Amino acid sequence: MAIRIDFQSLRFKLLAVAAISSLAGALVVLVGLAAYEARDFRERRVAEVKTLTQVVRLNLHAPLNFRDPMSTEETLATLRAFGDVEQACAYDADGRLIAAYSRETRALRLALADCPMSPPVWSEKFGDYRLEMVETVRYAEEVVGRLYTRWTVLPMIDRLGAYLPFAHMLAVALLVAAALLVWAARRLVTDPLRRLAAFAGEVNATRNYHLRAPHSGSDEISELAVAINEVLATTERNWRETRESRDLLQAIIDRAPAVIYVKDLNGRYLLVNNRFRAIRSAGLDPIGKTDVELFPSAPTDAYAVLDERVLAGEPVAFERTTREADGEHAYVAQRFALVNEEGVAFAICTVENDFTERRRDEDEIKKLVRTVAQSPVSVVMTDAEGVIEYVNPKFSQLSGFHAAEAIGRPLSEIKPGLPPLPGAAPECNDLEGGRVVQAEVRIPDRNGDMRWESVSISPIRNARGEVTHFVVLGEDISVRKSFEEQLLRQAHYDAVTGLPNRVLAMDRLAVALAHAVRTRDIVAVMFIDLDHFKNVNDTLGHESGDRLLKLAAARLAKLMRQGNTLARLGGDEFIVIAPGIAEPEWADHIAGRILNAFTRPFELDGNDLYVTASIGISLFPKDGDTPEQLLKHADIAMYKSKAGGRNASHFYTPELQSRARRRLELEGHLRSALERGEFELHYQPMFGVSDGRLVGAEALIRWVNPVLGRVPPDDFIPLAEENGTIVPIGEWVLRRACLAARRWEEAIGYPLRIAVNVSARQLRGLNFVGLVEDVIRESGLDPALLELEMTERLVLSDAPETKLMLEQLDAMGVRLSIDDFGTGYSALGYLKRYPFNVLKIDKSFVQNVLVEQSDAAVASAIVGMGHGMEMEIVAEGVETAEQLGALRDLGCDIAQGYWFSRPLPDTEFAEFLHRYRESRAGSTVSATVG
Amino acid sequence: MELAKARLDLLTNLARYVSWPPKAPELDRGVFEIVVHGDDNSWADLSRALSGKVLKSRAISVRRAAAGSGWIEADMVVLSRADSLRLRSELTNSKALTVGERDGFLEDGGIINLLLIRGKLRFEVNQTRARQAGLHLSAWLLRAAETIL
Repeated sequence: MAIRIDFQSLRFKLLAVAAISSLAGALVVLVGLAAYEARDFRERRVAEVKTLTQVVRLNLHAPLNFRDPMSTEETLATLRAFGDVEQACAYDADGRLIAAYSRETRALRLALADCPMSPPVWSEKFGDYRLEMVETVRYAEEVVGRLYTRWTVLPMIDRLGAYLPFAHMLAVALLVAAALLVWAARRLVTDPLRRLAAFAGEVNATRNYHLRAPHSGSDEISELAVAINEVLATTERNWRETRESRDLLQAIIDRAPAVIYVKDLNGRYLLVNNRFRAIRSAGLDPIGKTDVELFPSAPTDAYAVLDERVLAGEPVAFERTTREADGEHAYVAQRFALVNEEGVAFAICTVENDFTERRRDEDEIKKLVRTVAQSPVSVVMTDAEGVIEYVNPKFSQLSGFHAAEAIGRPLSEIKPGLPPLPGAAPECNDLEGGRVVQAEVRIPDRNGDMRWESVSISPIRNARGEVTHFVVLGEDISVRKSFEEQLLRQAHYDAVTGLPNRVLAMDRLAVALAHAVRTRDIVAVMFIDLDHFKNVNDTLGHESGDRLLKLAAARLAKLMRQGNTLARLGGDEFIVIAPGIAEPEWADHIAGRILNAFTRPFELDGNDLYVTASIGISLFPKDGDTPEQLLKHADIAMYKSKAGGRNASHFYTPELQSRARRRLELEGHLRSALERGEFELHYQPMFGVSDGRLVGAEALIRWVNPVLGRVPPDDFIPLAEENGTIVPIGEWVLRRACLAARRWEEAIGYPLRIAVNVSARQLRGLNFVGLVEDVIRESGLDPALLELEMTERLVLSDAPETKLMLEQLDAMGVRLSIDDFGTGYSALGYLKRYPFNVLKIDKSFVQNVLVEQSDAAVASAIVGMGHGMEMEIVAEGVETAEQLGALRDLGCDIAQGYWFSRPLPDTEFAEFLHRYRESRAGSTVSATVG
Repeated sequence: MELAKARLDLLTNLARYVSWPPKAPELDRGVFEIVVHGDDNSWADLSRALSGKVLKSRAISVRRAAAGSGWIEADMVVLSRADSLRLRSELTNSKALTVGERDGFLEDGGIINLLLIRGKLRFEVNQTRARQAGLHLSAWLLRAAETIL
């Protein structure tokens, strides 16, 4: 096993060195002595041998020259005298072995065999307990041959053996001396050194540089201890300074808001600041570690590729983003090399400044800039003197000025008409007071076109509170303005006619009244209602109705004088306010002119249309002193005109007021009449014209009110239609009539048809067809016996719903009848489209059929056409036998009227039926029944 | 071949143990001159083998003798069997070291005769004749000779 001396203790080393050197010394002495002895012996022996061989050598030339082996041998044999020569050999000049001598044998051949084949080239050789010599044999300066002799040296060995005991003693003595030396060295050198080593170990372990090595004396070890203490003092000082510097450095970088870290060239962290520890190292102590050790999962420093450049002395900067507890952070990093005094880089320092906030601010600013640039609002920024510094694209779009044209020019030049800035107008306190000025102004653009702009001017202050800029925001409100104007118009003017509406009219009236109070003038209020305008709407449609209104309005407007107001109140109602009237007759005069204006036809869709008007007039102050009163009274007066047959004007009178009040009263009673059972049905029988046979009856409603007495249908039916009570009343009538018809059948023995009037309002009511169905089912009446009468106006409106409804009724088997035919528009062609079964000729025709030739002709035509469409023709209001006769001649199928019977209450009709049945049993009816 | 080499070595070695009287200055050419008589093949290469060698501090010069001439200035004369017979009279008067190789060479006045005894090259000398020629033969040479006349 090899022992590495390097790892052995000093004591061992000393021991080893001492032992080895002792032994080596002994050996050297012995070898030296032996060598000296050997050399001495050899020299003496060589000299001796040379002397001994002298004689032989001197006698050998002749035998060799004359090639005489015998002589040669004899000469060699003289060596026998010397006991320690073992062998002798003689060679001629050419190296040929001539003769030999051997101490052991006398045989020449054997002796020759012991000789070297040729004479050796060396002169003497010592070894193998022998001395060998080669000598040259000369004669007369000529080389004759060579003599080789070999001698034993055993005597010398014997002499050397005498030295061995001495050598042993010497070796032992040296070893003892070595041991003593080692022991002394240990006391004097090793132990103090070991103590010093222990001390150094302690210092190293505790890093307590205050410690000092104990020492005494002035030997090298003490010097070593002193030197160690000096080193310690220096180290302590350096350590303290280093620690202070490091603490200072650490304190500085810890204070820095940046993330700072320093790595050595192997990527190990040498120094980091608090912020790095807080954000990056996740609670681990990064010092001495690499990124891979610190963040095994995270990617290593992606910027390490820059380090080569950094180490080449080029500081690099880069940006990086990291995800931290409170979100993503952006850093601007500077990386540079730290170099020592020799200018060699030993570390790389990175300083990363968090600019998340700044970037956010920048983003905000960019966003703001974009917002301003893309703002739908025009934005102008001026300096404190009002010189434009910035305009956004919307400004250019609105004003027509490009940014390059506008910037640098005074705002007042580009946008004249703005509220002045404080530089231009010191009295503008709002701005100087730092408040925002807002205004809506009309501003010309570059081409001089005026626009409405909503402008706000705001001062912008610097940190000292001084106004440095103004920002002027402008919004194009031209469209809004026009809308506003339009709204204003709509609020005060009628869309169809363009006339002032009710609101404006009332306003004007109030103004006129106020004025009239001062001037003591009369103000006339005329309420104008177009007669039968509803028919126009129903028959020709609303568009035509609107056109008619427009034409009428235009015609009225022409009649207005200065100061008069013509307004449309709604529907077909107009109002004229005529202030400054001296006499009431003037108002009548105006009304007369209006009525006159309506005598001419209106041209509508290529047709001439005759429309008349009804006018009511109230006067201030006589008929009221408020606009509302005056309007209401004029309305009442207009109703008077309507009631009087239309196309007329009436002044308001208190009596009219009472009539209007009655109408209100009527309406009030009407609403509860049905509950109170104040209605009853009367039935007017209908007869076949040809045979006089009773075919049915028309149900007619009657109202007897305890207060009002008997109210005629013409009074309350329109009212009921207006307020909607016609719907429940109509339903009551339908049920009642159907039940009555059922009873009649039983009474008379054959089915009678029952005709029921249906108003337009009823038909438009909720599910009229369903009602009819229910009533038929409940009553058990054959649907074919039910005849629903409706006016032709209903059909002429040509509403698809109406047509559908009539078809449904027809499908149920119900008969449909056109009432009062001939009084309206008589557009017979329309009827073809509808499933009507019966056509009732109005009583006005019947009564005139014998008087007026034209009426007779019309009646004849109606009958003809009705039959042509397979309709049954019914004549109403037959009062005389002549009339009946004429109708029979015309071909009417059925007739009703006073000639036959007035409408009969339920009980009387039952009696009538009874009588009819009896009389019928005998003969056909040919005369009136009662 | 071996024998030829041994013969050459012996010839030169013999010369080392012989001393010559000083030469007359007119005859001294500064070289050790060997004259070879006879065309025996065994002598053929003598000239080539000894040329350039030094003997007695002189460069050896070997030449073939023309018939009956050139002995006067020669230090050593090597004679073939036939020539030694033919030049018998010159042998007796020669001052050079004569070396022959036949029975009776010494008796005919030669100084050194080479012998082949049991395969080994030996020699015999005529000390009387050498003394007559003024040559001194070393004791080492005499001791090695087979016979001495």
